[in-house]
Amino acid sequence: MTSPDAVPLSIAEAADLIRARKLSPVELTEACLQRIGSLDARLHAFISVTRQEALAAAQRAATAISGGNYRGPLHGVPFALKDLFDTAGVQTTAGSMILADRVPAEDAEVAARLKAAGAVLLGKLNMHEFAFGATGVNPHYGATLNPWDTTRISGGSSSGSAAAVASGMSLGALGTDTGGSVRIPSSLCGVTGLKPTFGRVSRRGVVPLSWALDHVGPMARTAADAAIILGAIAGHDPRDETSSEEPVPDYVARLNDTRLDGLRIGLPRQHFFDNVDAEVLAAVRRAVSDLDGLGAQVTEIDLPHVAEAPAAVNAIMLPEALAYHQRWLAERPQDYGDELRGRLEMGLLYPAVSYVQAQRLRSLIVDEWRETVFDRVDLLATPTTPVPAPSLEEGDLQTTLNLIRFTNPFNLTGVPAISIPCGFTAAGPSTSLRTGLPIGLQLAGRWWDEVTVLRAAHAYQQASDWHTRVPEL
Amino acid sequence: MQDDPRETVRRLAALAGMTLPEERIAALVPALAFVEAGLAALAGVDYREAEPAGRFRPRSEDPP
Repeated sequence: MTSPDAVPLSIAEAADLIRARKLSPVELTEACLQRIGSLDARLHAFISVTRQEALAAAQRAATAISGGNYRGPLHGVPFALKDLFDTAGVQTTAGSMILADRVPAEDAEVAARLKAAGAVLLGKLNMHEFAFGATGVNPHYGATLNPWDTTRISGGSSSGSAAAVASGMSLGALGTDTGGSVRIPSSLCGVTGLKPTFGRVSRRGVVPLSWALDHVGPMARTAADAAIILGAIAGHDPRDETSSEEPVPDYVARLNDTRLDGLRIGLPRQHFFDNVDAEVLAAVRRAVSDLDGLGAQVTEIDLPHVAEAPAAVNAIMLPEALAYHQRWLAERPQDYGDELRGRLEMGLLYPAVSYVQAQRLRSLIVDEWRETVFDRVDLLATPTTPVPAPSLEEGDLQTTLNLIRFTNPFNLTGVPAISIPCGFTAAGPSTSLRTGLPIGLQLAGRWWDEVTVLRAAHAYQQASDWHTRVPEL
Repeated sequence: MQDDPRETVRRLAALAGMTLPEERIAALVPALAFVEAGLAALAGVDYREAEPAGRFRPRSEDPP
């Protein structure tokens, strides 16, 4: 048996060892639980840890695998879920006091699919309260701290998901993404996070923020790991009316290229390179140059109406979030954090016509991008966020508005988009900032074409080592 | 919007069936400028014949 001390392993690495019976799922799960025990009091990535259930699931996996019943690359692999995915018999709080005592009777569809694939649930992950914010500062369960510098935010709303993967407490996680909540914390914590096409992954059993914009996506160390998780959770769910019947390709099998010859990558002329931190800009430019060196053809491209996209996202998200929370706001206002309560009440200020115009803008952008963008390029490349991880002291609303600028246009259009590590800021003398802060590159593709997004991200990661770096904790 | 921003917020809340205490109304007033900027951006778009996106019914040839 191989020692699991080498955590953090990637999922693919762990799967190879487990399949070859060189690593036991029980040992790997114990190693993750030990790491959670030693790190999470500082990072606040978990809301609940399902220790006994995890060890039992790991033992079942070990028994099945030794009996010749290996299910695939998630069998016996520890993972964790943002605490808004329903888990049968396990508290699901959505990072709130409102749902603090809620114990669902049934798994969310994606939780059930991961368990069916043999994955081992370690616990439920901290998040921005009700997923409505990009900092991961939670008034009830603590701020999830950035593993690279614990004076800084992890990003959100899937804050615990990113911090748990970055610190090696979990090999993979699921998050949700309404304005960037998978990609932003992935960027700030130096992991890989994918928002698939709207409709690709079931949202049944997931506490909503905005029905029109919510996506479920994988977070992991590598694009190959994201492909493994996506393969397990993607596909039609007849009990989710937004779920697509689009065929699901074998994502992992399509990751066999180290070159990107013929791939056309567009650099947006508008919006995505405005007011960007100098180190972020330099790292993204280098990454794009590296993609060019792998054979991709890089050109500049116009993105019609992208400047109005954030306004449309707000005009949809804020009223929808208020609609979901309206009864609780009336009956239990004291159970909301001040910041979330104020943000929800902002939904009152949007007239109905703005919601309709935002949905019309969504149609307009989708049509225009289909006709004038994705006929010329296969991918768009942008920074994931305009800045690296902000400090904990910075205000929540302005920080959130800045962090979501480059991610939320892709929630409006529904196209798949991934964030991958593409560099680090210079190291500094501050408390724990010995290594610099991670910087994320965002790649967005055509509707349903996660394969091209993952293929480019994987090829980049085959030629770079940013994703292999581990924070000193 | 009306001249008194607090009254504007109070009326919007009442129309939604919500009664907000004065401190919550005061806290929302600064957000009016942010919302108005967003509404102005949306009002400036030439929507041509675009219809609202509506509920997404996925088909392979159609994006959301």
